[in-house]
Amino acid sequence: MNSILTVSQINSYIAFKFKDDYRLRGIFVQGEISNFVNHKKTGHFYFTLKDNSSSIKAIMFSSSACNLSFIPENGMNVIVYASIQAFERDGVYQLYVTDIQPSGVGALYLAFEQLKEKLSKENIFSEENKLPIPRFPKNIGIITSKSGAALQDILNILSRRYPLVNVTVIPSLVQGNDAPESISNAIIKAQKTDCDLLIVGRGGGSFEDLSAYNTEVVARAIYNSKIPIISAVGHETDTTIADYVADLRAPTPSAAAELAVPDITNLSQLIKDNNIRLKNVVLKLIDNKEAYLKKLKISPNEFNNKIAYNQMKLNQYKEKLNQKMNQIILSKKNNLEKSKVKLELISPLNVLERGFALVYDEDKLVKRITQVNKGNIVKIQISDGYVLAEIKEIKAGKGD
Amino acid sequence: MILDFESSLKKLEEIIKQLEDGNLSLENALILYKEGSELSESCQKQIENAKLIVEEISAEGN
Repeated sequence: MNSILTVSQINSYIAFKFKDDYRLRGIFVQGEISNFVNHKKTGHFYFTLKDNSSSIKAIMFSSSACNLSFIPENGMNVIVYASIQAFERDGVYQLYVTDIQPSGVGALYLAFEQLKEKLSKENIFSEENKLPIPRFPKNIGIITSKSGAALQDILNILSRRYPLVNVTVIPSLVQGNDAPESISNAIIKAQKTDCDLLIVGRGGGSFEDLSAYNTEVVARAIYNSKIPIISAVGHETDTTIADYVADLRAPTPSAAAELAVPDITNLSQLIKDNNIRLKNVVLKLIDNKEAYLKKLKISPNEFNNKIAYNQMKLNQYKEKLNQKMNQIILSKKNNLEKSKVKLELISPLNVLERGFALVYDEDKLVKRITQVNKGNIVKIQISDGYVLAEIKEIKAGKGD
Repeated sequence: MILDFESSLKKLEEIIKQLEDGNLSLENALILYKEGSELSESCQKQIENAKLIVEEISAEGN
């Protein structure tokens, strides 16, 4: 009693007391996280757990922290599994945490939300990064459990709908701790095959069963795939991170198979329809050409009409030609008649008829008195003969 | 020179016009008339020939 103790002694004693009390080991403590520090270098988490009126320091070493599926945040309500020990150097006691569970929502769900938000910020889900699904895939890679019902479902539907397609099965684990790495590796391996479409998935299960598809490593493998990926995880109601990243989300593995390939029945009907359409189009084309050709052809009737028309024209010309020629002949004849009349009018015989006489001296017509001499015998021509007369007198001037 | 039907017909028409115009000597008119008659006959022959061909072809067609 009353002996003087050192600080180390008292802290050591207190540490011993904490260690000795089994009630402070393996306890669950509920509280709100504050002052959270994720020590990058060491990977240890440091934080304070508090409630309305009190708080306690907490530490989670990296060996435990790395097993957490989510990252604690300030304000988060959690239940920690811990022991309470004194830290002798500083004379403080604190929680040595080995596990943290979010209270209210499950840890996996929280992890899911956190990863979704993180990847969403990186635009990994954005539509513009999605690859188009080939309409007629040649080789489909299926990444799922070799023994799962999902594989059988997919194979059944593929062979029924589209037997033309090749299938390459790239087996992967679908649940358990190694599943994320296994799925991711299978996707990476698929890049070296000649697959032109991948289906990644598994059949239904609990949220935890599907958790491999909610991991970052799987999400990144899907994102980095150069081959389009259809995700097919669980049932219709399950939506995983893989579904968000995939180029197409199928609600179930069976649905993935249906989305992956066209139905050959429809396809052959489509081909038939197209064949009929093609034939009809060509027939119609020929019909049109034929109709056009018919239009171009002159029917004998039309040609006969043309001949008849030309014949008519020719007849007209013939008639005209003759008519004109006859007219010319007629007018020439008229002219001749007129000339005849004129000729008759100026004929001297005609003048004699009217009582005139022509006087010839030695067959020369006497027109001047100077042409004759007294005593000449001249011939006087009258209408019905001539008389001979002797010139008795020559006198100038117009006769009286 | 053998003219085609249309040209012959045109020539014939010209001849008729010349005859209409008058002021032609009878000799020239006769020369033109003779030429016109020959043209007209040649046209008639061409028409007969065309008729024949059409008949032959339409007989083949039926």
